[in-house]
Amino acid sequence: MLFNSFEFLIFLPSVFLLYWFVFKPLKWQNLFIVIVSYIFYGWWDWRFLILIAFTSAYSFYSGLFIEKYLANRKKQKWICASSIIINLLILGVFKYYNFFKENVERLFSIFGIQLDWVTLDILLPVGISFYTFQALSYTIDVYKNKLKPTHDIVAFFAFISFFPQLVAGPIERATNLLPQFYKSRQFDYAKAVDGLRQILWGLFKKMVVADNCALYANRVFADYTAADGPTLLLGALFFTFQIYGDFSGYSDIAIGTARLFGFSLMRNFNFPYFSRDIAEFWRRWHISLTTWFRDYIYIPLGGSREGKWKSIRNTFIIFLVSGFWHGANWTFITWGLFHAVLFLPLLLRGRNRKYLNVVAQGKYLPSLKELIQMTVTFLLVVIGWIIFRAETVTDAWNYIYQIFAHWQWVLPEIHKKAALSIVILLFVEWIQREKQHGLQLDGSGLLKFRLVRWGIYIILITLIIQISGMQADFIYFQF
Amino acid sequence: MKKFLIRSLLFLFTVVGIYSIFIIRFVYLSNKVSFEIEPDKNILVLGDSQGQFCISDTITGNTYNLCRFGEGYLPNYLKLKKVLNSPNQIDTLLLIFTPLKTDKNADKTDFSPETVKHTLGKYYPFFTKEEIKLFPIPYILQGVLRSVTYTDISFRSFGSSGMLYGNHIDTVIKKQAKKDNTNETVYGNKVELDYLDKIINLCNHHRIQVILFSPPIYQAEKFYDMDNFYEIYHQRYSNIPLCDMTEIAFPDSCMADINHLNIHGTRRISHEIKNLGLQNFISKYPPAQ
Repeated sequence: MLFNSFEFLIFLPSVFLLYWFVFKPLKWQNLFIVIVSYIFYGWWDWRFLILIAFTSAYSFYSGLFIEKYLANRKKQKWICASSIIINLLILGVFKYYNFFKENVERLFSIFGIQLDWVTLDILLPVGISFYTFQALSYTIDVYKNKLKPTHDIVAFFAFISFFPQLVAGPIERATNLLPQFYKSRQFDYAKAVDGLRQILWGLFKKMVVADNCALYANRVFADYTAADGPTLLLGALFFTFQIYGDFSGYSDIAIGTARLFGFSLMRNFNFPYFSRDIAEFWRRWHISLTTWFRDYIYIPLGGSREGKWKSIRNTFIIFLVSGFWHGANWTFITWGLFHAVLFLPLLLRGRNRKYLNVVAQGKYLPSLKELIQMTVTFLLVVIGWIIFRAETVTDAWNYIYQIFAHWQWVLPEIHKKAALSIVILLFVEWIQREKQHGLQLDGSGLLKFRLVRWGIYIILITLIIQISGMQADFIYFQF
Repeated sequence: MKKFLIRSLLFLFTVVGIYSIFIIRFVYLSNKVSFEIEPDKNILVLGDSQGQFCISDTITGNTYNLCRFGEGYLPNYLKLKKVLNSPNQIDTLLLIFTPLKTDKNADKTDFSPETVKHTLGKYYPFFTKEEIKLFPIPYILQGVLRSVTYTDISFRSFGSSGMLYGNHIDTVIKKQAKKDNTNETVYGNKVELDYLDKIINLCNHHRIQVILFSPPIYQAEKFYDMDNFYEIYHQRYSNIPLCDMTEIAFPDSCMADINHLNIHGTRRISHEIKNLGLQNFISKYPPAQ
C-alpha cells in the first residue's frame, strides 16, 4: 500500500480511530499495530509476510537465548552471529544471488570456464533491507548489553513491522523504538498536528517534486546518447531532486504518521542539499542508515582511532557496504566508492566534523563562501547521483563525459512543473533549515493566525492535486 | 483528542467546502457552454489528434472540426450529444477510425491514469450513471478535483482543428524502439468500441450519415495491427462507409510524426475534400482490404 494512494487515505484514519478509541489497553494497541502493519505490508504481496514473520521470530528468540546464556559469552556470541548470518543470508539470497551468480560466471568465463548456475526468479520483498537491519540492531544491542531482550513478542513484532517505517525507513534502533511499545502512548495534540503537517510536506515532496522530476529524468536517462550537455545536466539535476523528494518525502510521511500514534521516530534527513562539504552531506542524508553503519560496522572496526591506514580501510568499507546495501549493481558500489574518495581527504585532514551547525544560522542568506561551498558540494553529489541512476558504470561515465563533450550554450527544454516544484522546495526548506521539517510552524508572526496556517495547507493540498506528476514508485522501495 | 478531531474535521469541511464551490462553478459553467454550430456547417468531424491535425475547417468551409488530442470515443460521444441537443444543421459525421482505435490497448485513451486526470476532469459534468460506473472512484475523484483550476471552459476548448509543424518521424520511431512495453497494462478495446457503437446509434437516431475516416499513417503495416483493424471494420461496421487513407503513402514532408500530418499534409487533405466534395473524396479512398 503506497502512502500516496487512495487505499492509504482510507486506511490511515480508520486505523487512527480504532487505535485511540477501541484498542486502548497497551497490549491490545500493540497487537492492533501488528495486525494493521501486516495488512499494510501484505497489501503488496501476502508472501512477504512469511519472511518478515520469520525474521521477527528469529531475532526475538535470539534475544531470549542470548539472555539465557548470560554466563556463557561464547554461546552468546554464536547466537548473535547466527542471527546476523541468517538475516544477512536471507537478504543476500533475495537481493544479491543473481548479481553474484552473473559476476562469478563472468569471472570464470575470462578463464574459459562456462558455469551454468540456475537463475532464481525471485521477487524482492519490499523493504527487506530496512527491516532486516532493524532486526539486526536489536540482536547486536542485546548481545552488547545495550538493551535488555524483550519478553513481549507482540511488542517486538510491532517494533519490526511498525507500518509507517516498515518499507523505507527510517531504520529504527531497538533502543529508541522498542521501549515505546512498553508504555502506553498518550495522545499529544501539538505532536499530532505537527505530524499531519509533516505528512503534508512529505506528500508534496513525493507527489509534486519527485514524481514530476521523475518524468523528465527518466526520459533523459533512457536516451542520453542523443541529448546535448545542458539537457543531460538538467536530467541529472532533476534526478537529484527526484531521489531527495521521493526518499525524504517518504520519511516525512513515515515520521508524521508515527507521531499520530504517539511514537517518535528518528530524523532521517536534515536538508542535505545545503551541506558545505561531503562529510556534512553524509551527516544529513539517510541518517538512520549512515549512523547504523557507523555504530555497527565502522566503530567496531576501529573507526578512525587506530591509525591512518585503518581509517582509510574502514572508510572504504563503510562506503562500499553502503553502496552495496542499495542494490546488486556495480553502479551502487561505484557510487559508494566515489563518495569514499570525496570523504577521505576530509577525514584524514581532520576536517570531517567542521560543519556541525546549520548553514547561515540566524541569517536570511548564506555568505558568498557558504554559497560556493554548497554549490560545489551539491555538484559533486549530482555527479554521484548520475552514477547511482545509470544502468551501468559505463553508461554513467558516458553520461558524465557527454555533459562536457556535447555542451552547447542553449537552454534545454525545461519541464515547468518540475522546475516550479523544485523552486518551491528549495525556498521553503531554506527558510525552514533550522527546523525539523519543511512545514514545522512555530506560530510566530502571521503564522499565529489559523487562517494563514490553513491557507498554507490548502495551497499545498491544491498544488498536490493539481500539479502532482504521474505516480512513480518510491525509489527506495527497491532497496 | 477531542480538540484534534474537531479541528481536523473543521479543516476537512473547509477544504471540501472550498473545493465544492469551485466544482459547482465548473459544472455550472460547463453545462452553460453553447455547443451550437453555425448553420453553414453540415459536416462534423470528431476524433482525437489524428483528426484534429488532419482536417482544417478553415479550408474546407462546411466542416466543423471538434476533434481533441488524446480523446477516445467516450468524450466524443458526450460532445456529440451536446451538439445534437443544440441548434445545428449537421447531416454528416466524419468520425476518426484508425488502427489505434481497434488496437488491443485502445481503452488506454480513456483509462490510463494520466489521460483520466485530464479527460475525465473536463467531461465529468456531462457524465450519466453509465459513464460514472466505468471508472474507479479514485479516478473520478482525481478528475473532479483537477477540474477546479481549469480556466478555459469555452466551446473551443472541447476541440478545434490545428496545425503541426516540422517532421519528427525519426525521433518518434527511436522513442518507440526504446520503449519497454513488457510491463505495460493492457486495457483492451471494449469501451472504445462500445462508445463507437453509441455514436453510430445516436447518429442513426438523428438521421445523420456516419463516415469512418482513417487519416494517413506512416508505414501503418509496420507499427499497427492492420489485419485486426480491417477484421473489426468488416465484422462490425461494414455497413458504414470507410474513407481509408491509412496506407496511402504520403511523403515524409507531409508527416509531423508516425500518426499525424503536419501543416502540408493537413492542407493537402483539406483542399482535396473542398475540391472533390466529401462524397467523392470518400469514394476515392475505399478500404484497402
